[in-house]
Amino acid sequence: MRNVFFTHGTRNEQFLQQGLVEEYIKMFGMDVLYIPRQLTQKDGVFNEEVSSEFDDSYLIEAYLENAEGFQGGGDLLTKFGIRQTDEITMVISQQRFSDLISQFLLLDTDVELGERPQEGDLIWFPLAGNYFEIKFVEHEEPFYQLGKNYTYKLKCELFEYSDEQGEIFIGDEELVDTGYTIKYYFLTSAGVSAIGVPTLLNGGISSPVLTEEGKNYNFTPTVTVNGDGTGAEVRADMITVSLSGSTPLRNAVLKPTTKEGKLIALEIVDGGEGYDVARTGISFSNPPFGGLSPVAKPTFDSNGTLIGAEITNQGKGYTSVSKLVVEKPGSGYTTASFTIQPVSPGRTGDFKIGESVTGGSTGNQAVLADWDAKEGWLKLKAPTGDFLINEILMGSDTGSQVTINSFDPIDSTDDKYYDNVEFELEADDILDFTESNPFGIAT
Amino acid sequence: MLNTGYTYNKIIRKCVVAFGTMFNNIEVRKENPDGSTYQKMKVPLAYGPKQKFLARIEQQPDLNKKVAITLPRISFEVTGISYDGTRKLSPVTLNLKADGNNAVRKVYTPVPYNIEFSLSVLSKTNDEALEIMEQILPFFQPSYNVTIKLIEDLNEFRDVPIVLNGISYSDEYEGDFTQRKLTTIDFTFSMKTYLFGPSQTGAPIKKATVDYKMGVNRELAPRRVQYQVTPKAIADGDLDGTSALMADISKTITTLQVQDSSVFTIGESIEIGNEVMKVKTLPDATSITVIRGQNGTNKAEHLAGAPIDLINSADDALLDAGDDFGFNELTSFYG
Repeated sequence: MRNVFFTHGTRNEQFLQQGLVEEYIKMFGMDVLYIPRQLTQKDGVFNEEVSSEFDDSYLIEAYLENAEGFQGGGDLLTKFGIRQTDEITMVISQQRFSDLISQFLLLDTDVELGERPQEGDLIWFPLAGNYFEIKFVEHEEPFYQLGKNYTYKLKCELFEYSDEQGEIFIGDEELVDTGYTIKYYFLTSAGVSAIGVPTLLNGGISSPVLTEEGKNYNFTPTVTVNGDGTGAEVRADMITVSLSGSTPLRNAVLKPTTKEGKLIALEIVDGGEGYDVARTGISFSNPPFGGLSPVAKPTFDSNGTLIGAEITNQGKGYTSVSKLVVEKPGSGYTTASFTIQPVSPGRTGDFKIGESVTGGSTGNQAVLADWDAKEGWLKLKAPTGDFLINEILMGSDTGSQVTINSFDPIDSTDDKYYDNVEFELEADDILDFTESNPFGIAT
Repeated sequence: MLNTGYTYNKIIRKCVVAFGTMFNNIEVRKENPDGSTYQKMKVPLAYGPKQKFLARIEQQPDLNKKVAITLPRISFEVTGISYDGTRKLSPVTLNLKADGNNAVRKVYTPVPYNIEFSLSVLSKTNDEALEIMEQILPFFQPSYNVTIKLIEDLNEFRDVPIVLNGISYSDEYEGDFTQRKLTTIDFTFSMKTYLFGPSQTGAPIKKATVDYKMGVNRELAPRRVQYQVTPKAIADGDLDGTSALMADISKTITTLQVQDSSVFTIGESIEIGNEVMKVKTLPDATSITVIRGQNGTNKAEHLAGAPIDLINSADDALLDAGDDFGFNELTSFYG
């Protein structure tokens, strides 16, 4: 039995010691942000996290034990790129952690342990501006002075980031740029809708006139015929196709299909007759400035009838209606007019960084990481799927809307280690995938 | 010397690109408890070896990184190149391919080489590593064939098998808490490729000559007959448009109205539209008579103004290795 006439730390002595420790840390330490991990899903088989989020941060003073630099191996070049292996040891007061942070963490059901700092939590280190992950919390150093421990020693190493989500990372531009789940979508700017006027001949629609070609269409608009007759069908062509170079006995009729400004199909409605095979080529109406005309190679039979048209270059930039084509003239019209599908209005409202956006037709969701109205792009983080071109995206908080004009897979991430696209582009020239590339990005 | 001229077919580089492409579309997905997608991550891929200064200025432009590394990642590199005697063919065989410029390209039999690759996957969790691994393994039974254009000039496509030799899976989790946990998978592959030497160009043979002699005396029997063949165009190639039709013609009309009949020669072939005709007579200055539908072409109607092309020696000269053609014959008799 120990000698009861000597005390080994009274409550008041322990309070004094705790106070001295805190004072020391406050004088010689620094303010860091303590970012608790919310373990949202756990894998019970492999005993590892599935997803974690980092939404909150708490300011707390901490003493940095490293005086002469970081511990750890420093900056290493590995086969996986540069790995920075800095380590630090920080000391925080047990009492201050309990007062400032624990009481909030205990209320959060996603936090495993609220009473003490958790391994896996992050410390934002203000001197270098980077994130350290707590690997081990040492609570017995110094060892039970006056019968109690007063500090936690947090042994930390630089965080390995795997696109963890949470408000902390959404606001960090540099981390957004190194993320893997960022997708770039380009926005549709406001355009001009096309206008057409029909002419009537014997009660049917004939020779429609396009009075306004429209601007910035990224889809082929539908044309509805209004009037008192029935059965008329009119379509809009974004590209006018013709055969040139020789005079045929009967003209061929071609129906082009345009998608996202490119010629994706050429259907031969009538092959015509008597084309001079050696002299005849397929020509296309010019795209608006900045576009590129498609190239197609015709094949004929021995009668000079067009039997095939192979598109060798899809061209780009066809964003206006080129002509209106009567597919069925209908009958019984005394008055008629056209309603041409209007162009997308572009963007309405201002988005807020960090809000969730939802696709109108796919229902996919993503977090808005950044956007630029002037340059016309959105960076979306952690999408649950890809969004479609022409799809309307709506912000959950602001209600802002925007139509997606295009999506560039090359810009899907600008991580410095990402060479996937380079390999894809080089391989396009040397690999023979007659049907499609089973490994590739392009479809 | 060894090299008869500068040659670099970039075959090993192409093999590296082809190998890399196979793994450039791997994704990691995380699911919510209800089965919906929580997050999709495209796994970045890069060739492992790098120039150190480039790695530093590209990956650490601000000297400092916010995090240690971003995960998951795939890296690969060439670990060895070795000769494969089992696939060797006779070295004297020539590969010949028609060249677009009226010529033939030839290259000798390639040498078979195996390129060894190592592919490594680094991930944060076991599940991610397994997800990546299961997107790779089913393709290799144990090899996967990729068709690569090994030589640009010859348009030489070869099926190159890539064989999966082995996998090592490591999950370092034991020990001190401050040690990093690393989950890595290393695959080793062999790519069975071929290395080609220089390719040379030769023109197609356009003239064949045979000399005949009489008798059995080799020294004294002189040449009696020489027979020579050269290719003859059966359709117009130069679109010369020497003349034009002055009036429409049906499928049966054999007298054509032309601007000037003096440009035609009796017996010569002409082409209007897609029909080849043979000039029979020249009745007057503005008309010619023809035999319709020659060289297997169909008789067709033609409109006034259609150009008339001559099929002559100029078209013969344009014949290419891939064209259909007939023959010009020349027989010479010697006393």
